[in-house]
Amino acid sequence: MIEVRNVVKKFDGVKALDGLNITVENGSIYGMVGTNGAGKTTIIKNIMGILRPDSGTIRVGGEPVYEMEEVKGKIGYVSDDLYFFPGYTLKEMGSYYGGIYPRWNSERFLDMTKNFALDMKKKLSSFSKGMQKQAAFILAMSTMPEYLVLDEPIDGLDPIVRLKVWKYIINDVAERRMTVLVSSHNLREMEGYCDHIGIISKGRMVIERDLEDLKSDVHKVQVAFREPQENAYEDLNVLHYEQRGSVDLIIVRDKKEKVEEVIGRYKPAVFDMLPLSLEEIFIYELGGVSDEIDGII
Amino acid sequence: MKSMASSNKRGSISGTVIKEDLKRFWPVPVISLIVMLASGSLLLMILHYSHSEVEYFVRKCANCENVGFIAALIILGCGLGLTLFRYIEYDRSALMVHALPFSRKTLFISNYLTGLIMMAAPLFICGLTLLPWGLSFAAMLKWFCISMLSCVTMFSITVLAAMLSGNTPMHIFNTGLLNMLGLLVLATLELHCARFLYGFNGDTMERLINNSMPIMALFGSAEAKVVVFYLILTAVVTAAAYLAYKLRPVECTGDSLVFGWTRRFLLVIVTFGGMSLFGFFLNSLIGSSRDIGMTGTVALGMVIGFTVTFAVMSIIIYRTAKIFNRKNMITCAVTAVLCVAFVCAMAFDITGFSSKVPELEDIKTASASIHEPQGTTDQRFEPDLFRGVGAGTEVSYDGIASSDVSSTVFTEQANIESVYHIQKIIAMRKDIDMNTDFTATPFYYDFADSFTMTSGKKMVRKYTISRATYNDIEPYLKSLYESKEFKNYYKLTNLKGTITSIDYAYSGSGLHAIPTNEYAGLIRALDKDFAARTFEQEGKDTDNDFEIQIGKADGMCVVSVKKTDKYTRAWLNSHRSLL
Repeated sequence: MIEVRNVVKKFDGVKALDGLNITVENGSIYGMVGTNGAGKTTIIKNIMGILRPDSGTIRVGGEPVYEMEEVKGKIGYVSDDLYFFPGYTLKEMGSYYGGIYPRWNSERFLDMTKNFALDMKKKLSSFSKGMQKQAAFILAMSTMPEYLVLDEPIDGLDPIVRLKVWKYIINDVAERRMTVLVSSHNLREMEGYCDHIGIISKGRMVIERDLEDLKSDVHKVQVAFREPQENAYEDLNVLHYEQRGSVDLIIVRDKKEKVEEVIGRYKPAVFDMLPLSLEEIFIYELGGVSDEIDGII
Repeated sequence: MKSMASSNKRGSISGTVIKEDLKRFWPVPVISLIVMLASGSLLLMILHYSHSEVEYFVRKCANCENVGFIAALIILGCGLGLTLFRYIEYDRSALMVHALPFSRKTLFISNYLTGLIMMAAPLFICGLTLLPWGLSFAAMLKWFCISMLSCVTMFSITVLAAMLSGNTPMHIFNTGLLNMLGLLVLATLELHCARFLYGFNGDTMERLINNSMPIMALFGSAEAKVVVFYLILTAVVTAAAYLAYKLRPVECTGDSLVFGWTRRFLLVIVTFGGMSLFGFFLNSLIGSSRDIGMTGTVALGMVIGFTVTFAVMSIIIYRTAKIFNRKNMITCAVTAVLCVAFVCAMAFDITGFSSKVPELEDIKTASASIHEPQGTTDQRFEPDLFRGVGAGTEVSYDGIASSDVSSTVFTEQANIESVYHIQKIIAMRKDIDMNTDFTATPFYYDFADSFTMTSGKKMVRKYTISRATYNDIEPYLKSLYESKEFKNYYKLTNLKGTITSIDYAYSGSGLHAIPTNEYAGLIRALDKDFAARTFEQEGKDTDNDFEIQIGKADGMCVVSVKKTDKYTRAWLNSHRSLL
């Protein structure tokens, strides 16, 4: 489990992280979404033990990370801003990683390099940005991490490579119960892969939800009654209400069965439950298109 | 804390880091080895030196006086410090390396150890190549250790500079500054002391300046205490570098300096240096030739120097031209107050340095340089050539005088009183002599004296005085010169070591060797004349007829024979057949 508790980090007196809390359960994929400057990279650097928080605690697998070699050895990391030793090939970087990560898997390294069709003997500096990102991902995954931290991992990758990347991640989560924290500035990118989503803004957690619960609990409902009904929705947790002619459009957070039961009492002429996109769920959860949501959809 | 201890079980040295460093940075030791070989054994092979030249050359190498070796030591020490820790100066590399499963302790120790290996290997190889040229193994090992110490000191200082700097240009700047910090601070202080403190004797400061950089201090036959000093300094600097790395905020990578206090410290120290140098430089260009005290040109130069240096350093340190902010103005005001306080303290001599005369009853010994105005031709007055006052007495050269003005230590009360009176007269007349332009004066006299107090403290002074002051102190100089203590000190039977030759030289007739069995007779005659010689006779250069050159294993003592030296002349007349 990755636990971030009340973390504060200031740069030149300005709070980049302002009492941030994050919980990433073991074997889950946690999508951290936020606009540029929200604090995503800063919290990732703190989780990786690169920066030291001014206050608050960060624990990975129950252990603090800063200056802890053994804990850091369990974390695979792909930075948004990649760096390889000057003049090094992927093979040389692999050899270096092999010397420092205790669970380095050479077989997987070779296999992934082949699968991503990267030239191991070519200098990494001659790779395109997307290829460098793939190389960094291969290196991180070959360390057989218990925890994988990815900072904007699919920026600059084409759709086919993105699928490959997600496939490897999901396989490792399923097979090894790898715990993944992935950041993005785009909520849509996270849909379909993440178990949990956290939206951060100005260094604070705005909302943190389990997507399974969220998707099963939030519903978009279109209802039309033959006769006007007063207080028809009072037993429901309505996040949003809108009247379009004789049709009511409501967003409800409740169990599907309960929604059906409550509205069914009034024998509606029209009763449709529509699917909600991830960004719609968050918009309604936050009570409208706020600044936080506006930048990430 | 318990969990921290339990999970951080890996060693502090990473073989992978060392291996990778060796792989990536091998050119640095290889280049320095090539430089060393090119200026050492390869040069010997190519130039086919004669045997004596080989010996001389190898001795120079062994004493670290070979320019090529010095360059190689700088490449090794500073070059490795600049490259091995370069990763902390760039955002991306700092991010990548600190995300890897290393603690900073492991990174520091492993990189530092790589530096030691990379320094030791080329030095040892170079030492081995000198063995066939006649350098003994013991001498080679000594050279290796001294060179290694020089390198490691520079390396540690460069590593400390890396930990304090946020980017490469500042790292290079700070490497230069920290490696020369001792020299720059001492030299600046010496400039102030020499300008504002009348009587300041810079010999001690110059010795400190000469020892302020390892590459200078460990030259030639380094004293044991200098070696110990540099060992301790290296250990302290390395510990400071390690601590700075532990505390270094990665988010400050790219800034000029990563710790806030170092920014202000650098501003203050560089501004002080810039102010001082510009003040004294402007005065040397357009100021008066008076070289003591505050002048308008010095003050103007200091104000300009302060303003320019503070502004330029602020721009460099804060990497912006917007330097007129409240915080920087406060630093400027504090720096100005410190600088003005220091200059005022020096200019107004708040310690009373220039007019200080010790209490007579507190003085244990006193020394004074006694020679005829404008110099004497008699070269015997080199205190370290003699054994001291009376046979076996260890009261001798006190080592504080410069080479051109030697001092003799006096222990007899009458002589101590004479030196005391001289000091009193000079202190009384300081305002006149301080304001004398000696470049426009036909007469001046360089005088040095010192006092050792019963408490063990020392007071050392050196003056250039005017004719009027000289006239006042001359009776005391005469008294000192003609004292039994002085005459005993410089009698030739009191020379250190064994006499190996005595030559008689008369202008135009060349050298004439005196037979060994006649040495004693001639020395006796010379000593009798010296004992009878007056202060006035000593000062009359025109009376010098010929000289006697006395050779010893450790040097030569040349004494003038004056027309009034009747015993020596009589001895020479009676031994004409020898000449």
